[in-house]
Amino acid sequence: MGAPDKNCQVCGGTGMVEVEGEDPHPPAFRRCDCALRKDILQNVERGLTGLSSFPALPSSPLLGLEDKNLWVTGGDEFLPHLRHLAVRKPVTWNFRVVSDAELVTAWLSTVALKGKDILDADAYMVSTKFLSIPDLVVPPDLVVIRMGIKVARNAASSEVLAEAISTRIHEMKPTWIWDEPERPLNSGHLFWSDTVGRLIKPWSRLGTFETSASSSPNRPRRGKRKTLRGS
Amino acid sequence: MKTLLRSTFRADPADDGTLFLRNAQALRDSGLGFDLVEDAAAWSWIQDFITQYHHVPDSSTLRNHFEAVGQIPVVDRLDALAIERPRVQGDFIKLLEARVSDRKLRLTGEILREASNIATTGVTLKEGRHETHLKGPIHALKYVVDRASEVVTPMTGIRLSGDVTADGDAFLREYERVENDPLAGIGQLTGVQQMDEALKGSKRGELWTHAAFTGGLKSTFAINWHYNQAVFYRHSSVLYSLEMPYPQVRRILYSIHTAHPKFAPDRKRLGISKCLPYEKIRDGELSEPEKKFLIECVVPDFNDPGNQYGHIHIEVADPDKTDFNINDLRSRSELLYAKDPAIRMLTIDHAGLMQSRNRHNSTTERLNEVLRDAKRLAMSFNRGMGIAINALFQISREGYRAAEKNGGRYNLTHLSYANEAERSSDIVTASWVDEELIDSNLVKFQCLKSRDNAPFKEFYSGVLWPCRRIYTTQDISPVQAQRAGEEIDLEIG
Repeated sequence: MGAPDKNCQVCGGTGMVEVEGEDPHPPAFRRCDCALRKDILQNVERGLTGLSSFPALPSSPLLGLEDKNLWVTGGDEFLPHLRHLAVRKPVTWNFRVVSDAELVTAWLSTVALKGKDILDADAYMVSTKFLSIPDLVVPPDLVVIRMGIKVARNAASSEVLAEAISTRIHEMKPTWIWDEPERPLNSGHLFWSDTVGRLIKPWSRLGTFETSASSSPNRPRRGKRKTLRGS
Repeated sequence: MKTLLRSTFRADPADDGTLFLRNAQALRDSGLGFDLVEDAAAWSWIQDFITQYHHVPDSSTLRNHFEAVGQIPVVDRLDALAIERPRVQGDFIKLLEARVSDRKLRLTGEILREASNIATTGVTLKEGRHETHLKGPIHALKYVVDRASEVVTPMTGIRLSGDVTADGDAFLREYERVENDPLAGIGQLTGVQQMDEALKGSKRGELWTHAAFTGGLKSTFAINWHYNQAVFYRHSSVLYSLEMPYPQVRRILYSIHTAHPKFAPDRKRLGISKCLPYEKIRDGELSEPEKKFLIECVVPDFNDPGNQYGHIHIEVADPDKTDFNINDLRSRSELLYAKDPAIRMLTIDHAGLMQSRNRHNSTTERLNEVLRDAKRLAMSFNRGMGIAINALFQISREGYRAAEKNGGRYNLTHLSYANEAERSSDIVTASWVDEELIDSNLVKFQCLKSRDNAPFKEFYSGVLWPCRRIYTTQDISPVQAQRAGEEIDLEIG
């Protein structure tokens, strides 16, 4: 949370401004503007470190979709759009961007605790920060799962992703899957399986982000399919 | 009985409508009646008035009514009652209980006489069209058992048991009471809006566990709760401070009172910002204007009986006893209740410092027993009357670490080293502060369990650190958040 301005004339440095209360209840306060904006930016940083420093956009197609499951395809140009949404949410809005690698790490952490060997090229990264997948994905109001971070193979990758998505569906909380146009989440992807496909098939899709106001929800553009006949 | 009736309508500008309404509700719940016809007529009309308007009438309204209907003896009686000194809060309840006790004595005699008649000569009872003839010792004893509940009730209006399918009248009376005075009908409110709107306060017979790590504002939250109960809602309460000595809690409470909005003009006049810092009061370092403010405004106001604040009883463990268990707490609380029947809430600060009745090898077993007993006490306090109990619970270091990784969010597994905290508690809340929140003058509250209501979504409350006052900080609406976001973007632009 942002520390209030010590010299603020409105709140006197407390970050609070009294609002009209109701008898017989104790007085109520609201957050002073000098602290509120800092609070919001810090909440944005909690979701993804560095997100608040992305450029501001005049509009974003993501606004209003935070309660829906979404499959987003885009590169780093997606981040200003995410920032656009996050700065417009209350400070109690709990969102988190987790990478596919973090999911596997959370899944492997109990194995690490038991001291067993981990057959994963990224085993050195395994920590006990989150002891299970639910630990990582249940609390937030919105989880954005960023694909394409984990590169080293792990046989259980697709099951881990399916479990994370199923957990969120069970909790009735929205999830966004964010993959990149160069490495789309489809057959051949490290985390792809029929189960994952079945789970996210009904989700709305959004792709090819632009940094101008003209961007709108649309299907990801696909390149022309090449056939043997060349047409 | 004159004083009881006088305490249910306002005849003086100083008479407090809220407290008089509580009197009237308590008198109605007691089921006491008035022997004098005039008193009975006035009381009946007062009850009708309350049902219709949800507040007590004043004497002029009463007079006008009885003059209009030509009942001059009632008018004369009201004039005589108006000069009686009314009673409120604990004083009223004490008087009411004395009258109820007299009635129970008479009732016991009646029941025994009737039972004697049944045993010897037999009695025919009429219930609607049905007639039942009771005769002999078995019927006599059954009769005594059936009517015993009328005598054994612990306090006015509290039922220990009964047949629900034949209790519609009492059920509707209870509903009317809550409708008339929502604040009196529900639990003991914390004074923190988001929590109160969702949970409606700590209720009689319920155990509310508030958990936090060391320094997580457990005691501060409890002291603020008791302060709000006394000063804003005017209910008495008992705080068992097993961690802090009495003078320390007293200093905090006086420091909190310096932030009361009623002193805003005085603070402005004397050049004092929001409150008097606790540390300055403790160390005797107040400036002249601050000292003047404390001596001339804060202390007299907090001690003025005219304000009709509830009492905050602070109890510490008996210095002659090496352990303080729930039986000690029960006997001490019931003794205090006998002196101050306006007590509505007990807080144990904190449960980990209570001793269990039986010896246990592990902390888990000991804590489990303490919490189980606390719930039992909440339900059985004062021979079944029940009371709201708040137990403060210290979260383990593992729980704290886990919450730290999760943005300061606890879950029930963090209380699992004493699993009874989860099982026996009707409500479990937790508070979280870290350095960032301290800098922002905020504390985060979350609800981990709520048996009777939907839990509240986590929220932030303001903390005035110098005096440790916790106050409602309204959540910003989605529209306000959107506007704030647009302003952030404009600033960057």
